[in-house]
Amino acid sequence: MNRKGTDIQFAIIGSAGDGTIAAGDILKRAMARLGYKVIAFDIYPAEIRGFGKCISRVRITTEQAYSLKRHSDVLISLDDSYAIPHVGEVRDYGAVIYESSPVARLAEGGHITAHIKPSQLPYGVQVRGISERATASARSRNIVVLGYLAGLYGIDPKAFREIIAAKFRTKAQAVTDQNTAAFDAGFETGKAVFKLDDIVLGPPLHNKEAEKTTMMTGNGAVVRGCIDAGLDTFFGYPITPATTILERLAAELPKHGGRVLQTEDEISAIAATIGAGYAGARSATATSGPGLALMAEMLGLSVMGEVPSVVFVSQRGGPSTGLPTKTEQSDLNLAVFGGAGDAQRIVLAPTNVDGCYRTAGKAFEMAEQYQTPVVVLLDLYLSNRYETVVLPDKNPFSRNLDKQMADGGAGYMRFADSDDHISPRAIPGQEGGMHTVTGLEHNQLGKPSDLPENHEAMNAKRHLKLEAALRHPDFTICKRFGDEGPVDVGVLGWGSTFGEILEAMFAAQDEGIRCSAMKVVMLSPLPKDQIAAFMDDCGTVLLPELNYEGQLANLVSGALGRPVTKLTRSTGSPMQVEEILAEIRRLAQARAA
Amino acid sequence: MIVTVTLNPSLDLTYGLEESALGEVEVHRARTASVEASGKGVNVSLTLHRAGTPTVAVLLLAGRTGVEIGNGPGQTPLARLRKDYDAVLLSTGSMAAVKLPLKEGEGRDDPTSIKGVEYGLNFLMELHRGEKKKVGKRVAVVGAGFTALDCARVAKRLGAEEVTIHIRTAEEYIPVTKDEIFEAKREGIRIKGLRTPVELLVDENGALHGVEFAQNRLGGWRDNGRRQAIAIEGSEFTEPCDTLLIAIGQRTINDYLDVKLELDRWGSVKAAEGGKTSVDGVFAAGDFVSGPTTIISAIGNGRHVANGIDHWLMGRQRRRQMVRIEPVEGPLRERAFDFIESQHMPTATLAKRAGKLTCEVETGYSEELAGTESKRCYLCNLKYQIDVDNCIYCRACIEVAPKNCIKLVEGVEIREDGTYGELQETRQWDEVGAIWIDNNECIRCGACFMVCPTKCISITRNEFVTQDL
Amino acid sequence: MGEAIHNVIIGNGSAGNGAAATLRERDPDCRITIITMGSLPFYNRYDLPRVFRGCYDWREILVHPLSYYDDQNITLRRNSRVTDVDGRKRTITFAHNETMHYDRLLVCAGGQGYLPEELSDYRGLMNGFNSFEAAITTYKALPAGGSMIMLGGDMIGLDLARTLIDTGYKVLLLTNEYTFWPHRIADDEREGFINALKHMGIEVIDGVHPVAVEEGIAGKPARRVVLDGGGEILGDVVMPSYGLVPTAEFMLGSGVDIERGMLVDPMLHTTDENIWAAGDVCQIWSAEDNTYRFYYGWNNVRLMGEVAARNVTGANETFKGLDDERLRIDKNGHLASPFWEY
Repeated sequence: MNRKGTDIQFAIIGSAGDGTIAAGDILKRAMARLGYKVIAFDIYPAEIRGFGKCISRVRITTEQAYSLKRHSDVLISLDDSYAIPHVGEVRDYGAVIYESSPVARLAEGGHITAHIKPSQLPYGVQVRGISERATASARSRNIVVLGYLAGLYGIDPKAFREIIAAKFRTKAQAVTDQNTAAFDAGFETGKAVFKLDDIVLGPPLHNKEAEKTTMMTGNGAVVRGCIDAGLDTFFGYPITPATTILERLAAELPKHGGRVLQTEDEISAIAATIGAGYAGARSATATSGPGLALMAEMLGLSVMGEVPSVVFVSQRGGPSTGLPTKTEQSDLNLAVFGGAGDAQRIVLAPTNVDGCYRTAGKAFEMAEQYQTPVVVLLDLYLSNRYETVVLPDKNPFSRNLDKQMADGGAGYMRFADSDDHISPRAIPGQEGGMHTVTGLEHNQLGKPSDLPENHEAMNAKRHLKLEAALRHPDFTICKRFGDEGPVDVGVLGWGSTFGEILEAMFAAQDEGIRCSAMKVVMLSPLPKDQIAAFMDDCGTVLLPELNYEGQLANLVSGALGRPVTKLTRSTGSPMQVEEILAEIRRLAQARAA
Repeated sequence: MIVTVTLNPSLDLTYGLEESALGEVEVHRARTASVEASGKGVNVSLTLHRAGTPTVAVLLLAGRTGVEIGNGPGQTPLARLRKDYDAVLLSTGSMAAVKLPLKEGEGRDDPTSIKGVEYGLNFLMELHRGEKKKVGKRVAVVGAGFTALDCARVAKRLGAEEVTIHIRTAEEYIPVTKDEIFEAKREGIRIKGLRTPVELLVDENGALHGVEFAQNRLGGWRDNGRRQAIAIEGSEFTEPCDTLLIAIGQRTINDYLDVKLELDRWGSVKAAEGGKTSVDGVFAAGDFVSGPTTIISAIGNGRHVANGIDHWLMGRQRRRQMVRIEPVEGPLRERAFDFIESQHMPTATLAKRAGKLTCEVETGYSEELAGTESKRCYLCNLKYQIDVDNCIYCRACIEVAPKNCIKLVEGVEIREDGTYGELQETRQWDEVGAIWIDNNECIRCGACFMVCPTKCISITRNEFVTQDL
Repeated sequence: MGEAIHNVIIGNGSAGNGAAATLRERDPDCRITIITMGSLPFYNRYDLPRVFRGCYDWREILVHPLSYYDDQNITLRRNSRVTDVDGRKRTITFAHNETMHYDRLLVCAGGQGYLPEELSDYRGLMNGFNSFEAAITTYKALPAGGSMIMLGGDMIGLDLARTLIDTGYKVLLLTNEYTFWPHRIADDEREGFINALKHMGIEVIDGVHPVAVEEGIAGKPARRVVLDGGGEILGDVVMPSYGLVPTAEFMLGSGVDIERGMLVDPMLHTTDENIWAAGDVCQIWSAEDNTYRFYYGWNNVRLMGEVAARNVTGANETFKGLDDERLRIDKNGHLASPFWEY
């Protein structure tokens, strides 16, 4: 499933304290700087204290890729005891790089050379010795190994040296010098080695964009999107995997004139968000499944009071405390339906880091324009996945999309219905805009009313106004990829899984199967027409997602009355491209029969 | 009359340079050289004498006095020395060559009676005394020690076309350093193994023209790490040569003794602690007792026996060897020194060596190389020790250890003589009694010392010193 | 207990792999581990001249498909240098600090090209042909139509020379006592064989003695061989071809007898009851010659591996080398040798 041009995936595996994650960080930033497209995802040890396995996987390509590969091309072992179980991950004719002179005495099979398969190429390096020779300590082993990689595969060392200098610029010059010395020593060694594998780094194709390219995680992109959209206030309560949004905004938002407050729990976080939204500010909070469950009642208030609010939800393994460090897509039902009553709201789910940026910013536009809460669904994988993105030169987000109050005064109707069902909005304190807001059902003036026709009319208003979101400008609510027209197998997907779906679709096409994929970004309101049109073209429809019940499959089937084939996984890890491809093949063969 | 006593006289070697040589930066050649007796008291007497004042210089002399000890005519018997002196020290070394064990044929009893055959050590000593030695075209050297190597390399320089060293076992077992063997091979000398000479082949003029060898196979192990060589029946073969240098070892001769001293099983005089022989007042030291060893061993043994003689003469021990232990503030070296490769001794090129007996092969280290090489000093007289009472078991030392030198132990064996024996290592934390530095593995890098948060690792310098009692 | 017997083979050449195949045939249940310092699975070293006929990918020279090791249940340990063998404890220690236990050990570590000590200073400027990596490096160092200066010319080197001539390169051969090694040539036959070499297109330079190898001056060929008594020979690549010396150093101190190679009886058994040896590394006792001798060539070493393996698994076979080991001249006037059959 390789992309054309360069497509190499590195996996660095070590113990906590070996600098595995740091090495992966330098590697991906250097490759991004050189102009390659990068997707990277790190696995941290479960324990907070210093033991445990760290894996940093970095995939670099010249053509855009959408997920990590099941098989890495190069495995670098900083600690054999953790790396040995992953040797099988390296493809045939790929490389395994390891310490050739470990300090401890090993029993038979304790060294990684005992496990390297005949089809893989072994490269033994005296990493510790080189580190000690260059820097008089063994702490720079991870940097030595990066140098070796660069030397072996002919990667321009300049980018690495720049990233190293930037990374350690806050420390003493001696630290930068030591790390540079370690890198150079590794580089010279790698250059002199006879290369036996078939891994070749081609030149990056998009050199011009290299300067504008930046590396971000999903959460980092959300933060950028918020800031570019003019976020005024953020209220948060820490929960894995959304905590970094709170932390980053706490550091960055004040520089742009905004304020961040950590609340005592999720309920007060959403309450404050809605309060700020009512006061006319752009406001948001971020949480995960358990937090969203706590926020469900308050979201109802935001719907009922037609107050804008934005909630970023990074999904993790559930239910309850679940699997806090594993990824899942099982909060869709909660996002779309959670809360009392018919409380429809906008739910968006970006599929990649670039999408996180756009969706984050657009969420504020939609919240404002349609006077409603917007829930943006990410997942742990997408939140922590690094990708190279090119941010737009101009700020793509609009402000002040409120429908303005036309004439104020005694007759002002905050909840007046109209053709587009969106009412003119007065911000508290606005002259002539006095009105009432309540969680009770109310009439157009905002005053409580339990009259039967009123409730029906208000329900209709609150639902129908959201239809316009389906046509929100400059935003992709769903998109089809792959073969045009009738196809054998169509694949629907949402969230981070769509990356793997795209890769599987490309592979299926390569095998001669007519295949098309559609990503659904707006999950509420559901783009029924487009999905139906897509399903019309497909012989059979497959819907892979990371949850047990098949939540989107149920949603689509329920909305359209048409069946889809579910492919559900709740392992806590991203779905494998090969799994999706195998299903596509099976369905294609079944159709042919 | 002024009497000067010089207890440590010396010889002054004076080189004369031209006056104009001073101040110019280049290599100068000495024009004159002279040797004179000297030493503090001697110099005083010399000055007094030149000034006309009567003076006598008293000094200790060593060296040959021209007196032959033995039992023949004109020789002084040992008994005379024993009568005239309180103690006699025999240190006549191992100056006789070991006989070549030929099976049969000419020269069986005295191989050197054949033209072209010499004992290796005698050959070298005569050469160094200034005699013009000659070798033929094809030289065979029998023997596996440094003397054999020296003979071979000298023979090459004297113009032999082909020089071969024949050894009884294999290269693996010969007691010569690898460097020496390498240089010899570089000079074109060949080493052939698994053969023992059995007969010398002589032509009609009585000159050597070949050596017959028996093929060997390797037998059992001998005490000194060497192998037995067992000749194979009927495996004889010939190697042509016109010169044979025999360097299979030296032995002691004690036929000059006129008193029966107890001998050991090799026929050398048996010497106990302090050099005592079985006869009171007669001591023996050096190669004369042990057979051929090294200069270092001989000097050491000589000193040791001197203490023994003094002890016997004075009736009590007046000097003893102690261990001095001093604390040291730091590792005294940098970690980076551990990665300095051994400096290869620069050697003269083959072209420079060819045919010249006076070309020094090892040209010596330059000041820079010498400085670098000295940084590699292991400082093995330093001992690193963890004070178990202050250790907090943080394991920081184990983490920085470059080798498997710091271990978790349940306990350490203490031997009868008080020394530490085996470490009882463990991997279970609840069994750990101490964190222990294994001084057999320690490379004195100092990393543990630098990182210990409670400073519980101490470094001591341990030296042998001689103390007068 | 029931644990399978662990047979360990040091050496990944024709002897070692012949032994492994035979061991697997005779004992389907035993554990077999092949240890090598190299980085690649088994390829035939005698076949390396193919590098000059367009074979640049190591996958093309492998003798077995990569699935062979799994299929035959043979473990291949690459990049693993043995530093110590303890015959009493029956353990092997690697340079990477791992210890391995064996029940029976078969040493097939082969031989390395001999470089005379007097030329050892110039090793860095010369090219070997002992491995795939060395072969590719040599190939890359030779420009199209370039020239190789071959010192000595043992049968391995002469085999390469044949291919070089055939693919458009020049070969200058400086002869000495190792020319035609391991064949022993009588003085009166020598001229005939030298002429055969010339007939094959090799430029033969007799009677000169190289003392140094230096880099060439800019603009001229890359290497300069300095001769005794002045004089020089220019070429692109210098290759020493002085026969093989057994790779037995790592066995020193293990308890087996070694002279130049590992000393074995005619059943390829060393002096340690659990250790055998086969291939270029061993010297076999010859009762008729009353001496230990080597056997070279692909046919011999492969057969030795098989015989040793059979003896490891209980047989009592004596190794018999090729009947006819002579160097000949064929009807085209070219050299022919049993060592060139592989």
